[in-house]
Amino acid sequence: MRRVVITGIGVVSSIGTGAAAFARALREGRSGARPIGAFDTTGFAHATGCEVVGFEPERWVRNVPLDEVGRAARFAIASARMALDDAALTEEELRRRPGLVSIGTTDGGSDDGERLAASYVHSGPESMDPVAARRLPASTLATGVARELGLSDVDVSTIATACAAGNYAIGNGFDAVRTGEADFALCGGADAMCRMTFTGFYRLGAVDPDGCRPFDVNRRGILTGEGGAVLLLEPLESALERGARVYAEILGYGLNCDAHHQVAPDGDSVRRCMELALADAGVGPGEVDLISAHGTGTKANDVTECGAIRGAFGDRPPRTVSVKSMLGHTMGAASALGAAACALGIEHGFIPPTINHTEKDPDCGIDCVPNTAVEAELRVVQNNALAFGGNNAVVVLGKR
Amino acid sequence: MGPVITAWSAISSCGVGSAAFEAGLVRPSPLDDESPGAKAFLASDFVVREALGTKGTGSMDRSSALAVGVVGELLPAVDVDARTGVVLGTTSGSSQTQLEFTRDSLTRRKPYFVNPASMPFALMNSAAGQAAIWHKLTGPNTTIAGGRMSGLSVLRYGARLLATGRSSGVVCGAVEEYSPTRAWLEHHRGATTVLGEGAAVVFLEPAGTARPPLAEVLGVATRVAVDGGAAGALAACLCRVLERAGAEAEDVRTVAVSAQEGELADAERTALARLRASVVDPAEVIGDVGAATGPFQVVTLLRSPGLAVATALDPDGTVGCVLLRVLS
Amino acid sequence: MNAAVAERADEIKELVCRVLEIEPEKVSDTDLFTEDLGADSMKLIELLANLEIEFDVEIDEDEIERLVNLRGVYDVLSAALDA
Repeated sequence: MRRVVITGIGVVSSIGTGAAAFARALREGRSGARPIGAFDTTGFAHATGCEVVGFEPERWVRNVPLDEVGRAARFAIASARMALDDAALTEEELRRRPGLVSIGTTDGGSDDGERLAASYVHSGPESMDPVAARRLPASTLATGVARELGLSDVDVSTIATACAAGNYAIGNGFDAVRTGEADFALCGGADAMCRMTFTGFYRLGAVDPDGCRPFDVNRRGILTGEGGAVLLLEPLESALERGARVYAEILGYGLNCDAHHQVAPDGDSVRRCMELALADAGVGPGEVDLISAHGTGTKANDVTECGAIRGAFGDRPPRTVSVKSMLGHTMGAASALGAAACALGIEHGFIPPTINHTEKDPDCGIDCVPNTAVEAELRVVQNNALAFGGNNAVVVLGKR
Repeated sequence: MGPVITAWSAISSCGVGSAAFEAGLVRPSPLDDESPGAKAFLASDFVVREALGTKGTGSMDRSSALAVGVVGELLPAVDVDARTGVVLGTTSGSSQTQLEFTRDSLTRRKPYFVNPASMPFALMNSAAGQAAIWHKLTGPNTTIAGGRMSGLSVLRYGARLLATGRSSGVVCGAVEEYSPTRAWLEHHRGATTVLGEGAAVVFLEPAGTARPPLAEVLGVATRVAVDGGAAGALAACLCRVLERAGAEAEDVRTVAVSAQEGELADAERTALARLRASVVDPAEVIGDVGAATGPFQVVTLLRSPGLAVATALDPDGTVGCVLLRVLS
Repeated sequence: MNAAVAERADEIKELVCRVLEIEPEKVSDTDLFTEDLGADSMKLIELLANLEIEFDVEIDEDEIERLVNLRGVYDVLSAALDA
C-alpha cells in the first residue's frame, strides 16, 4: 500500500476563493452569512445563508461550454483547476497517468431542477428548458472536471451520499491511490444553494435566522451554504520526487451506516465510525490534536456528535471546531471544505475557530475554540461528516 | 482471483424477484397520465404498501421503495454482518419527489407549507439509506450518481471496498423509478426510448466464501471521451479489460449492450464490431431503465456461462465496460 | 374547542393517525403521542406541518410542545384558527 498525500487544494467558498484566501479567512474567523439572493425568499420569516458572491465561472471553465455545466459543477471545475495549479502540476502531466476524479454532492443540479420545476408548474412540462434538463444529472460534476482538464483515463464518480459526500469522495480517492489503481486523485465536493434544502431545513425548524452557532447553548440550526473544495492527492513517493509541497498526509478513513433513523444521527454508530477511521489510520485517540466536527449547529446534531466524540476520546477530547460556523452548511461540499481547512491548519500551524460563540452548551462538553483562531502544531486531525440516511464518513489527516 | 457475484435479485416490469425476471415476460403498460410517450415498462407488480406495509412508507419515494424491496428479495440468499455494505447507483434520485416538494413550496400560500417528511426522500442517497435502515445493514453505504454508468461504477467501487477490507460483502446495484417528471426530463433530453422502471442488485464478495460464485468480476474499465470519440474510448476500455484478464476478443461469448438508439448506440456497435459474441439487450424486455441498465445487463449475463461483457455509455461523455467470467 | 375544529374532529383525527402511522380505532383523545404511540420529534414536526397545510393556517413552532395528544391538537388548532 502506498502512502497518500495532499499536494494541491482548490476552494470556492463564501469566505474566500483559493487555498491562500481560504486559509486567511479561516484564521480571521470570517463569516459568510448574508441575505440569500440565489432564489426568491418571499414568504419566509428569515432567509440568511452563506452564498458565494462574485464567482466568475469563465475564469475556470474554459474548455467545457458553460451552458453544459450547472453551478455546482462549475464550483467543482473551478476547485479542481485551482488544486491543480496549487500542486504545480499541469493538465498534460495528469493526462499521461491513470487517475480518479470523485466529487461528492447532496443536491447535484437541484438549482437547475428547481427552475425546471417552476416551468413545469407555471407553464406546463412542455416548456422546460432542454439545455438545463441535459445538464441536470449530478454525474456532470465529476465528468465536468474530467472534460475540462482533458482527462480521459480516469475513474470518474459523483458520490451522492448527501452531507457526508465530500469525505466519501476523499476516501475513494485515497483508496484508489493507495492501492495503485490511480496515480492521482482529484476529489472533494460541491453544491450550489438551492431552495429545496433551505425549505426542508426551515420546515424542520432547523435554520438559524442570523448566524450558525455550533455548540452554543442558543444555537438554532444551520445556515444553508454553497461552495466547492477539491484536493489533489498523489503518492508520497511521486510528491517527493518532484519536490512538491505536501500539505498533509491522508492517514485513513472510516465509513459506516447507522441503519437506524433517516434524519436523527445515532451516537453509538457515529462513535464506531470514528473508531473505524482511527484504526484505519493506525493512530490512537490520544494522538489526535484536533477534530473538525460535522458541527451543523442544530440541537440534535451537536449534542449527539459531541457525545460520540467523548465516547471515542474520553472525557477530555481534543479541541473540536466547526467550520460551518463560518461557511454555513455547504452540504456535499461541507466535509471537503472541512478537510481542506484541516490540511491548511496542519500546514500553517493554526486551529480555525468556531465563530458566533457566546455561551457554551454544557451538554456538548468540548472546547470549540470560540471565536478566535489559535496557533497550534497539529500532527493528527480528524474530519467528521454525518448525513441523512445515517451515512457517516470520517477522514484522518496527519502532518507529513 | 477478483471479487465474485454470489447472488442477485431484481424488480422490473417482469415482476418481483429473480424468478420473475428469468421468466422474462414483456409487459409494457399503457400510460394514462400526461407524460410524453404512450407506454412504459412499469413494475406494476411492486405495490409499495403491499410489499413493505404502511409503516414508514407514507412519504417514501418510489425509488427508495424499490431499493428496500429488491434488497429484501436478495438478503435471504446471503449472509450479512456488521460490515455488509450497500452501494447503489442513480441518475438524479427521485425527480418526482423533488418536483413535488418544489411545486408545493412554489404554489402554496406559504413557501414552507411543505411536508418535511418528503425532504430526506428527495435526496439522492435516500434509496441506499432506506435499504440499510430497513434491513439493518451497517457497513459502508454509498450512492453514486453514475447515470448510465452506474452499473460499472458500483461494481468498481464495491470491489474497492472489498479490496481494502472496508466491507465483508457489498450489495451493488441501481434503481430507476418511472414517473411523469422523469419522462418529461428524458423527453427534453431528446430520448425517444420506451422508459422502464426497475431495480437490480448483485451481492459482491471476495472469492472463497461459502456460497458458490455465479460469476467472477475480471475487470472494469471506463474512460471519458474528452475528444468526443465514444467508440474509440469504449474500444480502448474493452482492450484493457481483456488484456488484464489475459483474454482475447474472440473469447467473449456474450455481450450485453446498453444504448438503444442514436449516437451512443452507433458508438457501442462500432466498438463491439470485432467481437463475435452473441448480443443481448435487456431493454427489449424491461425498457430503458436509466441508471439500472447496467445491473440489469449484469444479471442478464449470469445466464450465459463463459466470458461476458457489459458495456455502458452515458450522454455526459463517459464510457466503459465490465468483463465477467460467468460460471456454469 | 373552536366550532370549526369540533366539526372536523374526525378528519383531524384521521390526519393525525395518517401522519403518526397508527390505527384510528386505537387512539383516544388523551393517549400521548410520544409516550403511548411511539412518535418521535420528527413526526411531531410533520404533524404540525400537515395541520398548517390542511387548514391553511399558521401555527407557531413553539406550539409543538402542546401537540402531546389529540386533545392538544384540537386546542392548538382552535387557537390558531381563532387568531
